[in-house]
Amino acid sequence: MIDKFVDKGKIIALAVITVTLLIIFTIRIFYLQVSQGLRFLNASGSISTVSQILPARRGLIYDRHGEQLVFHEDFFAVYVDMRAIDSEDNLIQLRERLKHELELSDSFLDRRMPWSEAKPVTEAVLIREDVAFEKIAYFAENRELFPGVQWQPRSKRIYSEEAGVAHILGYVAEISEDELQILYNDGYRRGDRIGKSGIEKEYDRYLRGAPGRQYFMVDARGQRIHEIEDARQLAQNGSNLYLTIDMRIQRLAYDALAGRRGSVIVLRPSSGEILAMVSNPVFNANSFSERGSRGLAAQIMDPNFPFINRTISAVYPAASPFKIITETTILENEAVSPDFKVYCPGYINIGNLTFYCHDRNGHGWQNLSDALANSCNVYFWTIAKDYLGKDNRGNSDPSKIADIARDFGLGAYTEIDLPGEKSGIIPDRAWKEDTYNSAWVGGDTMNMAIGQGFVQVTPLQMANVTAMVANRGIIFKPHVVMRVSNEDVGFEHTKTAEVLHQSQISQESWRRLNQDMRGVVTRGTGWVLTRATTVAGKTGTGETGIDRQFHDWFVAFAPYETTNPEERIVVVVQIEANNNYQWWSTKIADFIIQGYFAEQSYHDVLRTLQPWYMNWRAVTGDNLPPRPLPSTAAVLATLEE
Amino acid sequence: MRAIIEFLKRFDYLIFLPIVVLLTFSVFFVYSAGINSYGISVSNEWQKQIIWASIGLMMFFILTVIDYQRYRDIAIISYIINLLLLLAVLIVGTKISGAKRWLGLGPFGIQPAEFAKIGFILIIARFLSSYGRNPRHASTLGITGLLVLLPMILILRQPDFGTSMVFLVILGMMLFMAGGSALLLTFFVTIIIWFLLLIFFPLYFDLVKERDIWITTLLSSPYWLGWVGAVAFVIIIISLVGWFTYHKWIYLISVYLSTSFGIAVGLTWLAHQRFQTYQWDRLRVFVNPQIDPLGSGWHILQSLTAIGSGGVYGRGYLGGIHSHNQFLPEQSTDFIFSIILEETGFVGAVILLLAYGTLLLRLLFIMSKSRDKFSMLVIGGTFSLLLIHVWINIGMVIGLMPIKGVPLFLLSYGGSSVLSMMILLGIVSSISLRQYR
Repeated sequence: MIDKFVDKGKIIALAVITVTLLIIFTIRIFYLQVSQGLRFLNASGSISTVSQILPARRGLIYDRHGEQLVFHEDFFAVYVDMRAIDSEDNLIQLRERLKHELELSDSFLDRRMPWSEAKPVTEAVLIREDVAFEKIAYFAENRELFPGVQWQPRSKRIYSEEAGVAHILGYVAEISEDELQILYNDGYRRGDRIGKSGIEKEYDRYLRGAPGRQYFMVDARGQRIHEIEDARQLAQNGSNLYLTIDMRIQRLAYDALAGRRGSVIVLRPSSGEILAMVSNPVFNANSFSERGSRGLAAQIMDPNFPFINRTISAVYPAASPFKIITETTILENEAVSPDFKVYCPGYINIGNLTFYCHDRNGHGWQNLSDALANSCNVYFWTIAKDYLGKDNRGNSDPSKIADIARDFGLGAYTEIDLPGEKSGIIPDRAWKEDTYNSAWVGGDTMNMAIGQGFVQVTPLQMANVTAMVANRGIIFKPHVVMRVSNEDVGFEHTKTAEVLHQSQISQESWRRLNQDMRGVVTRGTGWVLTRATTVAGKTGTGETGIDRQFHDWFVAFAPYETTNPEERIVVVVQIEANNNYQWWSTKIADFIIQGYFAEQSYHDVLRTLQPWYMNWRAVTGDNLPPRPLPSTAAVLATLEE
Repeated sequence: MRAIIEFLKRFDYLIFLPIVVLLTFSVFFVYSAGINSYGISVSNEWQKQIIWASIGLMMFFILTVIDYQRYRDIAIISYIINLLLLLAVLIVGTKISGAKRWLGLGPFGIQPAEFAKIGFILIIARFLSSYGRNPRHASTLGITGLLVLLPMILILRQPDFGTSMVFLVILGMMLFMAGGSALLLTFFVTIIIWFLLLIFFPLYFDLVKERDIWITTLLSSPYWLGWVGAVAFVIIIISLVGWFTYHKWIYLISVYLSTSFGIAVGLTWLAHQRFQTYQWDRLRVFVNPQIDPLGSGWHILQSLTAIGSGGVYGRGYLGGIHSHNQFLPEQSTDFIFSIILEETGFVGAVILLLAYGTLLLRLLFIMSKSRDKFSMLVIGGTFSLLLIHVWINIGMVIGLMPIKGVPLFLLSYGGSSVLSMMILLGIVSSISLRQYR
């Protein structure tokens, strides 16, 4: 007897439920795979790909004639991805090969690439960082011999260490947090290299190019499996820069400076192009990228501050070259007639203080031209104190001088295309009140008249002052880069001369100034040995307050007269105070001018000028061999005649 | 000799064939799940799965050969052994991710909870088929309740909430088949439907539509739920009064709806009180996986992407990137279906669904032709177990069910799940061999 215990109805209900469920599932799966399949296919691609930046080749830097100053050396860092090695035998084989190819020690490989049963979970292991391209090519061609071996390019930027170009070129290093904060929106990323000083910094945007991108297939841990070749975007290499610098002149200037602490600028006043820029001591730009930065530490601690570009970032008292400004002030304000004479006994008494002219014997009666040629302090003190340095109410007021000084571009930036420029100081009454909380006095004016006191200038500013005299009223913006060019993109841009400042000073004044600066050389303190051209200039000796230690200046332009102003150069030499007080600035400028116009190297300059005041043979190495004594027979022979 | 021929004639191939298909897929794709991105096999799970499958097939045949009445005899013993094993795992079991589910035996461990289902089905089947037991009687319900509570409590202590719930469902199904009232079942179903609405309606508005309407606050806060419950209660009273007074149909329906609704409100209130954050997260992520794509939404999104990227023909055996690049966690167990679909596409999906469908419908068929209540109930229990797991696992993997990690019988890697299902199917096969003409 069988119970009617099977309820067919319920079974059918269950069957219906089952079938319905499976149909719903089928429809859903159909939706996912067939209807939306493409979308998911794309989605699975995007979560499993990762992109990596392809670094762009940084632009190179050349001098104006195409001499290369920055070089790239390509190296690679080699890694091994241990997950590609599936057996101990394979590992041993690979290690042997790598040991042979990359010259690694057994113990090193033991540490870096050990065999373990546990599946490795770490990223690929770095095994060597400075592998040459040929080795990488070999790895690439024989991939089956080197499973799991990967590499990344690491190029090193190498700078010319000649002639002190380091200050101009600068150096690159990894971008800092502060810089990243500001520059992130411009496309800079963590780990990027960025110029930190000099041209590298100023033109970083042109030099760095644009990075490309590579896409890799990854697993869930982000480990790379292989590259998706089609998606690769090539990098755009950086632009190359051609400087206005002429390496011949740069070397000449550097050699002429002969290791003294100071700076040299050679520029072309007709365009503002800088032909040479030397600041000594120099730093070594390559010490930033070399391993073991002992050299770097020593340079950072050097009390002579090798990293400062003294031509633009160091300020000095202008000293006697400032008399150019004072003379201009006298001329423009018609304070006295240029023929007005002042007697210089070698000193001047103000109240109960005595100030000495630099020749304590005195210069005698001086007019304006004499005073400039001889650099007579007493003349300028007198005129400044009695005629220039007073306002309408008779209070001490240097504003006439200050205004002219500013007209020459002092106290302001020259807008040169290098970072770190200082603007110096041109004081006036308001400035002194603000800074020192005390009133301007006559003594301040006197100091200012001879370029001492509060006046502070950079060598480049003084070069501009000289340029303005040579150009008779115009200064062009000084610049170091002549041309930017990028072959990849077909971009090229040549800089044209830009006016920095046009002065309203009268042409008559310029004529006089030119004449008087020539006088400095022909009959004054600035005599030179060179005959290659005519020179006009102004010497200077800046006081430091330390006995027998003076800054030394010489600013000059040459040729003095010419039908082709474009061939003119301005040379400024500044030697910092040291113990050998010997007016070296003038002599160095002398050598440079000779070398420039006669197209000679420093050694050849010395051989031509044969400066009696130095042992030049020791420098050129021309120690003449002693003449051999004639033999006895030869002597007897001459006697017989 | 004759016996063998007879055996071959009566042998139920419609059960055996799907099993073979599923186990074959299982071995192949557990292997695939163990391949890393370089194509090197990093896991030996596939080897263990071959062992499990072989043992399982062996047991299947042995069990088929044995007369199923024997199983009735050992029902009580098996049940007690199961309880002891469950107790043992609580005491000496290994703790993995905060739960004690495993009894280790060297490199081969077992999960007593899986095997407990066998003993449970057997004893319930035996009990309900014994003379005079009517599921509508309180005594029957009481005893079955006890029988289900014991393993459930032990499993809940592991803790394993999901597995213990499965026991309840199996019991429900077996009661239903044994003669439980259909009305009661539909009543329970209605409660569940109300419950799901009450839970998911606010979540949907919150996470997908991102609009706050007054209903969502009403239904998510226990305070307001109390008021709703009170309103429901009032309606129940009114409807009851109406029915007893006027005997109109409409009042009966009203009673039905409002009572079920009221109970559902009560359950919702309980849920809001008792559900842990991670359980709510699973529900939220189920409604909208994008709210936490790297955290709790990760599984769903990865699974959907893997499946979807399979297209019609799949990415080819061993060609799936999700498995090989380790994007899907648990890819040899809970998400094995995703891996298979990624590599075999819609074609593979259809084959597998057909395999499961055949198996399930065959079970129903044998059930309809069963000669005694015991065998019917055993098959019923097996059927419901298989259906539940297929429903939850595949549903989860394709995004139609919230994440709940249950193994997909015969496909997922795992000795306990393979063996327990093979044992049950072996018993069913034995029944089929002897009963079906």
